[in-house]
Amino acid sequence: MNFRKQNPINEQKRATFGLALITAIVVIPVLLIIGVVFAKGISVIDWNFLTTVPTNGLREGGVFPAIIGTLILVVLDVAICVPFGVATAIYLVEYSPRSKAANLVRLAILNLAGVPSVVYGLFGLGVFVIALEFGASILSGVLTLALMGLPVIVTSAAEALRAVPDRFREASLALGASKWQTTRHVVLPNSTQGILTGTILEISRTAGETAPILFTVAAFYLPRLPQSIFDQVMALPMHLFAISTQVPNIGLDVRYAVALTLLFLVLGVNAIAISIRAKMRKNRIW
Amino acid sequence: MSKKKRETFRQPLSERITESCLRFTAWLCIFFIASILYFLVKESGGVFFSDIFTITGKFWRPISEPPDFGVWVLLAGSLAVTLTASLIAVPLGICAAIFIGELIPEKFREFLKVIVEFLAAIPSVVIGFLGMIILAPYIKETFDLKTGLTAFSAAVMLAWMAMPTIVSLTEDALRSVPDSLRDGALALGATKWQMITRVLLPTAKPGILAATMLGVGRVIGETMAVLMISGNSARIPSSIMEPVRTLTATIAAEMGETVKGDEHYQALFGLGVVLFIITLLINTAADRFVNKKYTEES
Amino acid sequence: MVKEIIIKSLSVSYGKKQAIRNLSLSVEKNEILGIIGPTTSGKTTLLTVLNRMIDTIPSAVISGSISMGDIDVLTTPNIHSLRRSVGMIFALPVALPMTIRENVEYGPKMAGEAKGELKTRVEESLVQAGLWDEVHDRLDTPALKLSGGQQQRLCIARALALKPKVLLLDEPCSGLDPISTSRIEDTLGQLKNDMTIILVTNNPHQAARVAHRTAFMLEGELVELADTDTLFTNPADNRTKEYIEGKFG
Repeated sequence: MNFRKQNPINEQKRATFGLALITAIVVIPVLLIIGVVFAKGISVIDWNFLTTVPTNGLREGGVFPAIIGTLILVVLDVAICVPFGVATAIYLVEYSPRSKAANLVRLAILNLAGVPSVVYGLFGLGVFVIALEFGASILSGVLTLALMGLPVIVTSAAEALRAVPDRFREASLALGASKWQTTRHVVLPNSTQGILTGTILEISRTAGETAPILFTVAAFYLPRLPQSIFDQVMALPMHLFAISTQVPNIGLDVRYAVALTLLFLVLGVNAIAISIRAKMRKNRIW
Repeated sequence: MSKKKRETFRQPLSERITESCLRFTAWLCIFFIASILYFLVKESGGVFFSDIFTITGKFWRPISEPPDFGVWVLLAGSLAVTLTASLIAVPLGICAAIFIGELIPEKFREFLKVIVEFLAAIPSVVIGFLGMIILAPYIKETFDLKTGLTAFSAAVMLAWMAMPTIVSLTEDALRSVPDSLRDGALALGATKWQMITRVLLPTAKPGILAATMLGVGRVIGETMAVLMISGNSARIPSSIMEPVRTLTATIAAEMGETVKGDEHYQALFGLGVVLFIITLLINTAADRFVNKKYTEES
Repeated sequence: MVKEIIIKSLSVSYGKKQAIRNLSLSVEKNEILGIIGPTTSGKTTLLTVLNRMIDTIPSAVISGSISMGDIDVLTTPNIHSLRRSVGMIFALPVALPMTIRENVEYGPKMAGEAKGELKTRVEESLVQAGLWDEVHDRLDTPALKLSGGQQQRLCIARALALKPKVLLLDEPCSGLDPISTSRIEDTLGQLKNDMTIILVTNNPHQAARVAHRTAFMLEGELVELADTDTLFTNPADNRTKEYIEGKFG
């Protein structure tokens, strides 16, 4: 290595400038997207828009059923995949971190995470809608979404559990506590914030998914609220897709408004997760 | 004698029950991934063995008589979009990761990372919507095309969707290079940039490669944005400025029109199998590279 | 002299590495037994066998026998109750991330002791460990805010709350200042009347101050075990002599 005096420093300056430019190119579109959607959609959004049902074949009225539908799907999805995911993570981290079985489970999770969303939609269609005869329903949609969310929760829960230092587990065991007692009283209480962050990120992700619910639950035009889990339901991402591609002659600003509603929901929830995580880092006591 | 001693230890009943329950839920994950593959194959029926469903077929014509289910044309569409998107996303993503991870002070780093995270969080249907409304007309104007719904348009959108994955995983890879290597280079009089290019990047290569593969995996599997912008033309494109059809968009677009059990239905499930295998291969390979990195360091 | 612990022909290995070779010794009731020796001598391994914490290391292979009263330590199925009657203090203070009170209550609570008992137990243990005066007015504050020396005494109180028969200490003062160290040594002197204490230490002087008998271990073997005075002034084995004189370790 020949470090001559002037050139390396200039080279670094140019490199830094170039990379800064590239980073700006990567990052600015986010701000543009948020800005444009907000600017063009905000005029349509009012209390009426958010709380009334659509009419006239989606051309008029509001997005209330879609919002409710999204909320229902999200809540039920989390209710299923968080307990399963955390239990799996506990098994992987606390009970058998190095066994062959654990490695298989880890590979399974990795691959579950990589399956494209439309393939999950197909699976949901084949199994829940058709084979188990749940039909296109909240139940089918939620089960499909929960399956998709499982690897997300397992990964973030496992990370939260691993962040608890081993010395706490040792101290607990040395005091005669059992493994489950140690997990329950020492490890879990100190990983709840991490698990919570993962859960909230899962909420944000689920709210924006379209492909898995396309064939399993979502209805294009259902101007009433669901009565049971066997009913279909509208959902915000589906709604946006429908009015962009399936239904002509819907005002552009209305479409932007739907996009804005969805974006606000998703990014808002994401922001909550990020702030919890930041608070966690600041308040770490060990 | 010693092994036998420790096997006589039996945990209290409640402990064993708890452990069994947890083991059961963990094994469910293996069951789930296996059953996804099983169902996809099952519902695709015998389509892989039939004449009309061919991996190399150049025509996807579900409604002609007899129907043609040539996978290659769709695969070509997916590849066109994926490769173009990767060519954009990978260099930009790695550069941004270097900048964010190494070249800016701490307080700006968190801010930028949050923005990148927001980029990842934007739902693909929103991106697809904006692509249709803004990007496609722009591309049509600029390149004087018949339609702005092209492989290129989709590739642009997907590139930005894949960037957060590449940026954050590359950042992780760079961060895990031991401080001793960094400090060593700097102590020899290297500038930061020299340290980055001659020490950091070469060392983090496996991790960066894994980040790239996972980014590519994300692009191949993307559905909604692609469905809305790549056009609807199941023809092998002669340039990326033409409409194409990808594997994912085909499934999403046509599933609603099929009847359970008929050939079209089975063919779409066949596409699902193809997609599943592709992403399985990519993820397994990427995992090898991530693990390889760790074992080398230990 | 009642023997609290009898160890016969104990051997421990991790994979290819032999940590303890054919070690036999007895520990007398109510004595403070010091164990000295260089880092790889197997002292810590010996402690982890005594309370079966070695079970957390799957690659460990153990042979021999250890009896404590009428319990066969190596084969007993009740490791949780064994660990309650054999308390362990680690080298670095590990206060659990909870309040001081919750730390001391932890052992008895997991053992299922009645809630009413806990309050007095906490006070007793903190008094015994010499920490009560300093913390009695802030029992419900986080334990991790205590100083190193205080945290270590908290760990002692935590172990004492289970009323152990044996207390194992693995270089408990290695991270502490001289004042905290001498406070803990005083505490040990008082505790011995209620239990048997084994003190592993990297510092031969500490053993000389505190222990009744001292054992010198080297590379997994027990080289010499004698009254502390004798071991330090007139060691029988040359290796002991060299270690004490600081020639190695």
